[in-house]
Amino acid sequence: MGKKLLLQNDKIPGIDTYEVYRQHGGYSSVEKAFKMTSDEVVEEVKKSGLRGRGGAGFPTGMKWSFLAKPEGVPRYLVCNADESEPGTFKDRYLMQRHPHLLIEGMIAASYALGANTAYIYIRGEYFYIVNILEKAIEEAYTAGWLGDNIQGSGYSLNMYVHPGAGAYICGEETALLESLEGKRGNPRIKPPFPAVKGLYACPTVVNNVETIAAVVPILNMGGDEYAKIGIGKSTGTKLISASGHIKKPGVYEIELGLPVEEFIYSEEYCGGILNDKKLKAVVPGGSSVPILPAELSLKTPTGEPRLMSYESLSEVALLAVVCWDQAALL
Amino acid sequence: MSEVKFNDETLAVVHNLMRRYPEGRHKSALLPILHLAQAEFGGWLSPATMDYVASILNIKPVEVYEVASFYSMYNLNPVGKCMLEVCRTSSCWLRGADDVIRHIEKRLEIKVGETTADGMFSLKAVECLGSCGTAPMMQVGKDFHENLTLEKVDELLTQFTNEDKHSRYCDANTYRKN
Repeated sequence: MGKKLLLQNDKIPGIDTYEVYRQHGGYSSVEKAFKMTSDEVVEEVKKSGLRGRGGAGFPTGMKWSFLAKPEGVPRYLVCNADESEPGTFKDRYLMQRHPHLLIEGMIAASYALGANTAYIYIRGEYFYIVNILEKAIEEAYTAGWLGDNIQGSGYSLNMYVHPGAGAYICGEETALLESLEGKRGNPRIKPPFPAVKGLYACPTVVNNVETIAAVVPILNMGGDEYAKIGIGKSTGTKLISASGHIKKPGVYEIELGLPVEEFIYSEEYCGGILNDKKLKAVVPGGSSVPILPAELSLKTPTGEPRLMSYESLSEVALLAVVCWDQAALL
Repeated sequence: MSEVKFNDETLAVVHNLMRRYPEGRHKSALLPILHLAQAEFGGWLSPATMDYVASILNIKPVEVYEVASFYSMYNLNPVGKCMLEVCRTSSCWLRGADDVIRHIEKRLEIKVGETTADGMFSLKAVECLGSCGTAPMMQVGKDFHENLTLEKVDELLTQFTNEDKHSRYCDANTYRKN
């Protein structure tokens, strides 16, 4: 079994409620963060080697350290829950089953960034998850993890959910910010980058759902320990959305570096191709990535096993695996 | 249609939503308020509805029109009570979305983009809704109906016909009373 850092409590009934989540160690990363300075939290994330889980793979700690900090200007954390790349559904799964994991990660991340307001921008098609998040946020306020002077730390944070309304482009962070400001989701010209002028022209970090959730295990175990998991510069674990002509579609947490072949054929993951047909092709990201024919899906051009990492599948977003069997028309 | 005006309960929610954003940035609440307006006023955004939303936010009507016309979830023309949104993107297509769409077209005697003569159903083909692991699927209001078979589609259509309700993405209870 591969290591699980996000979905280890996936089978526990009621893990979506505050009470059960807290009983299983929930919110301990925030307690840990409050014993550190905000810069120390950023440092842990840098050490972890965490890279953006929205597809681009940019180092998260570095993105955080770019945040401008002018005196008297508010900063924002915005969670990108717009998950609209065809074939991806791992953020939906995470938010639906583990809403408090996202909220916990957002509190720790907001503390690290010195943000006192955080928004979760979620695609409008996921309206039923808006209900789930609203309920979980309410629970977090009631338990004193949100609002003024959180757990007596002196740190205050308000968190809100904001639904989109159907626009693929709003997954791009500057378009998302336009949309959050109540405008058409047209991307902005960069620079300035959101870290300098983001939401309401204030310094802003936009991070994917899973990226923010990963901050929780990173703080709990320490950045150095997290960095030992995975392969090379692809550290940690990753949620993969698996769909198409496979026996067991779903969301799986893998250690980065797992061979693609093992992911597709092992019983622990996809369980092989539907009806035991021959694999024809794999879409190793969303629909925006190249389609890899079977031979290049499992092996690299030099014959090495293809690994699930940012390097081995470079230039493709490592979000999803959509398998096509031999019968599918391409 | 009755007068375009939120009831007191929904209006309180609307004002709560506006307070989620900093002073002077309440236009941010436009998208969630348009969703509420569409849900309350017949499933689409008429010019009168959009003008009303503009008046609440104290912005120009054109600022509402330009936003409403950008996003695919806002209907700018009347639709059926029940909007069937069938995903047709890759994973759903691989698992039989075409059959689902053809089946609905045949049963309701409409094409994608049309509404039944009795005003009960509209059929829309949409892009990926993040339900690829449970394909094929369709969204009706905020509900996802997954792992569809043609039998299951038939059952759902019968159920919706009997319920005779508007499909909605949200209502006044969607949001926390902050």
